Amino acid sequence: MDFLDLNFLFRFLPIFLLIYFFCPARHRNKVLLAASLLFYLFSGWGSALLLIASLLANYCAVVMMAGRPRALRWRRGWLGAAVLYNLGTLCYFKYASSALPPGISFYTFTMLSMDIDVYLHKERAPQSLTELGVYGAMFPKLLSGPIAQFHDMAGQIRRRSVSLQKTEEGLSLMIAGLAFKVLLADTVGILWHDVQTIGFESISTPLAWMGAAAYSVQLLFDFQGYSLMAIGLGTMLGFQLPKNFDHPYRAGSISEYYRRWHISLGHWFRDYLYIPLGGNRGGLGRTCLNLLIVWAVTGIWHGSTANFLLWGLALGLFIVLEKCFLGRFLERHRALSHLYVWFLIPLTWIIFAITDLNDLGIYFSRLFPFWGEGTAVNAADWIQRGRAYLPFFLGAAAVSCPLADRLWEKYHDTLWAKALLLLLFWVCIYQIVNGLHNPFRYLSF
Amino acid sequence: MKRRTHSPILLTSVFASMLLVSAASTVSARGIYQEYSAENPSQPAVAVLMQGLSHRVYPWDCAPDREPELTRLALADGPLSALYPADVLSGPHGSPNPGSAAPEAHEPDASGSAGINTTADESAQPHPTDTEGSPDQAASDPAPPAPQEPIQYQFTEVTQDYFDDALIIGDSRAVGIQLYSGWDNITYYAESGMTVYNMFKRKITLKDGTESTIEDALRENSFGKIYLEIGINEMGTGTVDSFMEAYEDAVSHLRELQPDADIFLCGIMYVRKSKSDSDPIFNNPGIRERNDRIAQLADQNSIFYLDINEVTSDETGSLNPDYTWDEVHLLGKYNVIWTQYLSCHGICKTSPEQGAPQQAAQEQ
Repeated sequence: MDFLDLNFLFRFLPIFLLIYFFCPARHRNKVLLAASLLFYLFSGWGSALLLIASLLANYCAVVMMAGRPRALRWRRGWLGAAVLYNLGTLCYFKYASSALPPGISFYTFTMLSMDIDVYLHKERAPQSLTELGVYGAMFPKLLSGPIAQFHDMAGQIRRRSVSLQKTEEGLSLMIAGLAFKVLLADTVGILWHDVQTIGFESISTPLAWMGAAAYSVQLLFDFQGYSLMAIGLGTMLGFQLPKNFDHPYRAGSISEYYRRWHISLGHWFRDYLYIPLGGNRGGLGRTCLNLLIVWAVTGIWHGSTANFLLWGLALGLFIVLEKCFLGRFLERHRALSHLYVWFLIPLTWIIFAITDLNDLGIYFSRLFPFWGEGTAVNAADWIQRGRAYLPFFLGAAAVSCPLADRLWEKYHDTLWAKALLLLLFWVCIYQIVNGLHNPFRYLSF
Repeated sequence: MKRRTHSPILLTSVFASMLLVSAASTVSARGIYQEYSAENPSQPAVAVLMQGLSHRVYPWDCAPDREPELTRLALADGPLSALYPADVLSGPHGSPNPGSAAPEAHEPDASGSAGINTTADESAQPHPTDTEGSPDQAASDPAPPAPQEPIQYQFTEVTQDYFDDALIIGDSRAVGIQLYSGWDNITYYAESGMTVYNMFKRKITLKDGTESTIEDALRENSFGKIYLEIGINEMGTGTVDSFMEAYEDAVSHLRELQPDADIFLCGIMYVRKSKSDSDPIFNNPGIRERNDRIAQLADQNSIFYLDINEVTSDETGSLNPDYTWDEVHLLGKYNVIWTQYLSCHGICKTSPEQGAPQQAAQEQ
């Protein structure tokens, strides 16, 4: 079950919300945990048992660490065991097993955040298995994040308030996210689907660039849409989940782009890998090495095929170059810096999208047709597609511009905005049933 | 005019509309949407309503008024694409030569499935002037003329100019041929999502850039050969019988509009095995069932059956996985298989040395 499943939207969510709101506040965590486990159970018994095992194993580790707060070796031993368990299961299922349990990359990092925070005394250990379960498995963020860090969530898990106003606000965000996903990501995604259906050898160079743009827009609105839905659901339940996107295409450098893209993952790597490696405290050389390590790991986290490592290293390389000299140049040339991002980022997303290196080479040879002419290429293939998809690209640009933010801030509480959101909700439902839509992209990571 | 409100109007209206729509859907699912609900037992009733609306069947309609031209289920994994340009291939064209794809001339078996089917012929050839009457007609005629055996033609190899007066009508798979086969001397009336139910009403862009329905275009232009490449999108609709009824009607109507054309019925191309094994609708057993029925319409005289699967299938009897990405359509570069196959399956009625006609050896 995911957020686009009608069973979720029309059965699970309304029933859960009614129970959640009308039960006494002290039981809400139990209701939320039970509902989250039920939600996850639809992924299969095996996956659900693995999640429960993860909750129990990490609970055991944090209770042991909390039991002897001054015994450093003891605590380090339990942290090591927890890290080994979490990364071991993640690596096994990600790289050695044929089936990836849904959300394992996300809830494993969530658990590690708790283990490390408890170890570092940043936050006291969860007081009960229910508290830990809500943190690790709450359904709004279980499958694809945001990867909320334990020190940000612990207080909210212990004490939070729900209100009709928050629920209303959360629902608005949820519908906006749904529209991002269904009306923008899935529509523009058809173009990328077509490019693959035609075959990379046979696409014209303009279509190859349109394909790269389409995949980039699809991925942005797919994941941003999911994240908005998750944050909206969290808000409805009284949580404040961390922001995951901040208009990445407004960035003026690759480094800035990734401070705005999948922010919760970036923060996780910064706090639990980059800083422990020494961060930028060891001079420029050491900083660059740390950055490359972090980006290689970020690549590997996304998948086991070589393209993900290549993607991570390519990004790491540009970020290192920006750290060394390119960043200063880009700061002086703002217009150029945006062109640099808009040119480079779609290329890196193509590396991300195409898992077969041979196919990747073919795609790049169509993007930069200096080595051969392709096979059975229809040189006019981009014209009608350009006309057909232009409104969607413009729509994507429009909702990403600063004006859209200001309009949302100013008007989202008005009757007209609510009427529009209601309409969008039903248009999305219609599209979910009748249109072409893909599962959320990040469910496969 | 801005009117800020802090009351939970959105929450209330979303919940209320969900309740209302669910109630309406549940009631309608037992009536007007009966058939839809059987297809979605595990989905909330609202899915039924949304599907119905997409087919312009409304809950307040009093009796099921199904419009067969609207396909029940879109070919979910194959949107290649409603957005295809109508322009013909103009780029450089290479022709990969998949080893197993070398087509061979198909020798029709006089007693095989490609032979004459009396009933089908009647529906497919409704010309009042047609004197090659069926046995039934002959029996009812008090003074029948001496029965003339229909000439059966065999396929022969032809060159590209043979297709100068050819027309391909079809769905997204035909669009693939149009855009990526490299043959631009053929006329294409091809649109993604086309079905036998809606084909004559579909609007297409003609070579001169004007728009027309296929019906009108066929009235205004004449063709020597018409290839009908259609059938995959219809698999989500109705039964094999209802599909065949519509298919036969379409062929009859084509014959009516283009009495002199040879009609080539293209069997539905299989899907990849992984899709066939997992898809309850778009699967190869279903395609084979329909192809067997389509083949029976051929008389080898003016209606011919072509089965592209002879050259696109793998050893499991499915679409060769090397030829497709989306499991349904050929990759652009493999559409040349179509042109190779069609070139080996021409019919030449005027030059016996190229394609000697055979008298039907078949006893009716």
